[in-house]
Amino acid sequence: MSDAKKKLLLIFRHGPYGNKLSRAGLDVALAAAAFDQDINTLFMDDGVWQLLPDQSAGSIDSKNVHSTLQSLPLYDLESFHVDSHSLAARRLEPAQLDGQLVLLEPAELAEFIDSHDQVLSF
Amino acid sequence: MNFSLLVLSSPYSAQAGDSAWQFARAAVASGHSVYRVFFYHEGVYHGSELGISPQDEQDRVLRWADFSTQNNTELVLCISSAIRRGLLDAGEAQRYDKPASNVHPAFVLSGLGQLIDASAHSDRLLTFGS
Amino acid sequence: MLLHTVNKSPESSDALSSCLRAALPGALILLLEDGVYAARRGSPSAEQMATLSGLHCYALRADVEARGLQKLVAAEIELIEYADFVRLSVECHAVQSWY
Repeated sequence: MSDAKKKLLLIFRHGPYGNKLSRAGLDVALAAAAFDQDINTLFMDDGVWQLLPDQSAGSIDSKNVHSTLQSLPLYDLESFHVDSHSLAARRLEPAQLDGQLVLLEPAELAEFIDSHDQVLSF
Repeated sequence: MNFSLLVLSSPYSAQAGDSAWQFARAAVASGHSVYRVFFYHEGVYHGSELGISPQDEQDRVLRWADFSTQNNTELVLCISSAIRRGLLDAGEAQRYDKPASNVHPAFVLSGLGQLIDASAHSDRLLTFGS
Repeated sequence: MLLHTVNKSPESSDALSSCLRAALPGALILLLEDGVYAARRGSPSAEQMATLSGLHCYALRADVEARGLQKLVAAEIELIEYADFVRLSVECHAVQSWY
């Protein structure tokens, strides 16, 4: 049981730059993808800000989170699940975000999270 | 059951590391095993050999070292989190020409692959963060 | 079924509110560290958790007592020890930490 390939969910709940934990979480996503794990990503709460395009992280001497996210499809991590409630709370439209998004309505969020074998949150 | 723990907070900035240690002890006392504790992000400060604990408090570094010895649990500091925070073992100190090393010998520096391995080989993976 | 853990007070963080949105009926919620403030009898959070269908809510006794809340915990929230935390994490298929 322990060695079977698990479905891993990475939940991103923090904005891209103010809390450097977001960067740490992205590195875990890259590592999991590189090690050929079966992973999904979910952006909720302030994590949805990571999906805004036009980030000029060089202006604060940081690595560009958006660019890193754009590289995930290279590792077969093609779609990003997004919590619709978090968008609505921030008056963000999906069209303002970048990437192949799968929107989760409130009724779908809990079921989606529960369907994974392991969950990590950053 | 086989547990692994992910610790994201430093020992003196939040309670998360304490909760992780309490959970680890309880898991073993209940007959389970703790495969690996992966210290990531600010959690790597649990591996410093140079901290001086107040005499009226438990030493947050040594108690993990003791736990590891008693229960055959691997303690891993994420190497990229550690070296940027100035936590170096002898090898890294030499590689980067730094004047000293300071990682407690009970902890090993390694990459995120060890977290992914812990995820793959543990029945449960718990995160302790703040 | 997931075990959800929350370690932040409801007034300081969205950890609990997001957890409650993300929890299926029948899920287990464990309040620990500063999360135990949500267990206080009469608090908006405790009342909300009592109305959500099928949730099983727990609080770590050690954290409740450390914060002087032992006589103030809502009746619907069960105080547990770390050994119970371990047991719940075994009974659920995974643990999700909200912090």
